[in-house]
Amino acid sequence: MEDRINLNHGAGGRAFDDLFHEVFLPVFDNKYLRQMSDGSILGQYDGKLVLTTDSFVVSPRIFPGGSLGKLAFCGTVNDLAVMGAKPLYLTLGLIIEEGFSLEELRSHMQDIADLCYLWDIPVVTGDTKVVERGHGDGLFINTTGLGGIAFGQPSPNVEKIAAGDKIIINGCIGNHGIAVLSQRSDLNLKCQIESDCAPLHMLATSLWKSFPDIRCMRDPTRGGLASVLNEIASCCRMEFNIFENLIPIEPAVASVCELMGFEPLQLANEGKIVVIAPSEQADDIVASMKSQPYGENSQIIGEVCQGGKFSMVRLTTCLGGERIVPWPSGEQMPRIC
Amino acid sequence: MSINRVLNHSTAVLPIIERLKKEVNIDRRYSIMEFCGGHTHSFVRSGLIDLLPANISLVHGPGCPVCVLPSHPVENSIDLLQKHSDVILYTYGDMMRVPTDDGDSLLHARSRGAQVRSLYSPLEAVDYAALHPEVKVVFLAIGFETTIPPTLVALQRAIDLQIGNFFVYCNHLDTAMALRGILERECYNDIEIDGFIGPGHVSLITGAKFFEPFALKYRKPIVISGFTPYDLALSLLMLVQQINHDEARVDVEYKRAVDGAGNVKAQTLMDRFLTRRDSFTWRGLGDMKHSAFKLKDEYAVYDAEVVFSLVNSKNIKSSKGCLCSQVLAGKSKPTSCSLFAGECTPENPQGVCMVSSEGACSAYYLAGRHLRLGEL
Repeated sequence: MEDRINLNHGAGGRAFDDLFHEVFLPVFDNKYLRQMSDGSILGQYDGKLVLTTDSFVVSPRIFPGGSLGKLAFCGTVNDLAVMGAKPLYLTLGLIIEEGFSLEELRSHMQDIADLCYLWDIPVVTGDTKVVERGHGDGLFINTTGLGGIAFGQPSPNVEKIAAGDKIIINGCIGNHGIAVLSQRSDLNLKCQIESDCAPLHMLATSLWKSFPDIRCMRDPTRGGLASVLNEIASCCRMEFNIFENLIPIEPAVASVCELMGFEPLQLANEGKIVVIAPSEQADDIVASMKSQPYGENSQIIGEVCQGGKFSMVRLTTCLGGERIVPWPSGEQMPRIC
Repeated sequence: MSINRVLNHSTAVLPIIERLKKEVNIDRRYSIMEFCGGHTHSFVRSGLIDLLPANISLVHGPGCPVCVLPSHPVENSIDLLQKHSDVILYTYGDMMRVPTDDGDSLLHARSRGAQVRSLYSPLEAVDYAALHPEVKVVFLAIGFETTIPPTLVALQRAIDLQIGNFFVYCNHLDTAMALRGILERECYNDIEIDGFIGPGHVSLITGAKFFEPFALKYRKPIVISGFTPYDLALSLLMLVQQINHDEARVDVEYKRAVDGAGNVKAQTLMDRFLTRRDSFTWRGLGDMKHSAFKLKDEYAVYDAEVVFSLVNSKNIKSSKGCLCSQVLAGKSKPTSCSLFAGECTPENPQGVCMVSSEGACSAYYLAGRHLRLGEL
């Protein structure tokens, strides 16, 4: 087989069949894919189903702590997890640019497959399209995840959010955003910051099970903590108050932000969950999170206040001043002055 | 580790504010201009602005290079791209969304197919030109002394490597002349300013001594400051002490970075390549003599203005209702503008002060000051 993707690989004929048998089936091998049908007939599930989809276009595709493939698995699994669902199945859609290296394609597929195998979440169907050179940026991946909430199990409900509830996060913010930026050659940033990209379904599932009164969870990906908190606040029409000195951040991330003029609250995360929970359970939730993988640096970072004229997120600065945390707008640009 | 320890030095800042409160004379007002947009952002973002004694008022200065630039460099660039399909324009990301008087922008031009790219270092543009002799690479250069050395290093590389398809569209501005304009009351003419927080990054290049003639001639204290809340609080204290003692020196708070002489190598480059324009029209501040730089005649073959016959305009229009000019002249706060946070947001800026991350409107918007009760 050639060592690069060409247009024939997307044309559905012999070339795709070769690609399927040489690249996809060996890594994802399972009873669903082996049927080689137009779709997969799935098992029964005794509960409510949750469906989510996400597309991944990160550039560069390999960065410290992760890859496009790992991101495509974790992103969708985490979306299911914060909904209270157990991830059951994934689909995989690829848009590949003509000329893309087969070796790199294999590497991303292996990253996904390793996690599928580890967590027993099979890829049950997929699709591959090849676009002409210059019409894509190497490789785009879409994953759709199907998850289940067993009957009687809790699911998020922002309407239950009440004044006094606590806002919790499972660790340091901004690592993913800076890890990706640091790999852009034009920024010439030399730092050792790794992406936090990680599957959080075990942590989330355990929390939903032990603390069914949790109001909601969200994963602060694009737009970061600023975006997620504004989304929730506007859904439940409440004011949130977070405290700058409680928000965990690695010194290296904070330093890059200071140097480049980035707002850490708006940086993307790929291994974080924000939990909103009743005040009286918050300490127990934090203790439980701290005892689990990806939760060691969990921390209460703020609280829900009574709704005011606007739903908004306030931040009490380290100095005791106050500012509003607005919705992120546009791409963050390094300052020039 | 929290944001607290790394960015804000809070345990150090609050005692300085207490000292500042003791130092201010309650019988007078202190009107202090922070020249640099980076300082405006830090004041607002950290909440320091709300902790200051009530009789200190900050006048947000014109030190945001994107904000004070008139419309014609962007209009000329778009025009250039339309007329010459072999031109690739490089500029800083901040410039991409700057609206022209007609509401166009480089970002819009790019969506229409123009070759516009943002860069972090001008050397990227030179490197691209070296690899692609078939295109003409134009670098739209903007900024105060902070961004001038990178432009000139890029130009030097183009000359050294004999790269004939790299051109600089020089729109660099001169901090000294802006300061002189303010002090001569060519602008800010109805605001009495008692002292200046001097620009930290510009001073890295120019050195602190550069500001001494201004302090002496106009009897105004200047304290060159770093960018953390600690730096700014301490700089205010140093200014208030000078004002109270009727002194007018240049002090350096930002000693960890700024010395008296500055970056001599950068200054040598500036002397070699640049000369002052007769005059330049600043947004908000109007026409100021010798207030901007252009390439010297002997480098005309690298000067996009000469090679492509680009003409500077003196006309400055604003979107209807936009108060950018007044904001830049210290006459209005961003929250006084009827477009602020409604029609004018960072995604859809109507005026330049909302575009740049250094702009006062952007600083106010990003800290949500429009949402605060009492400022609606």
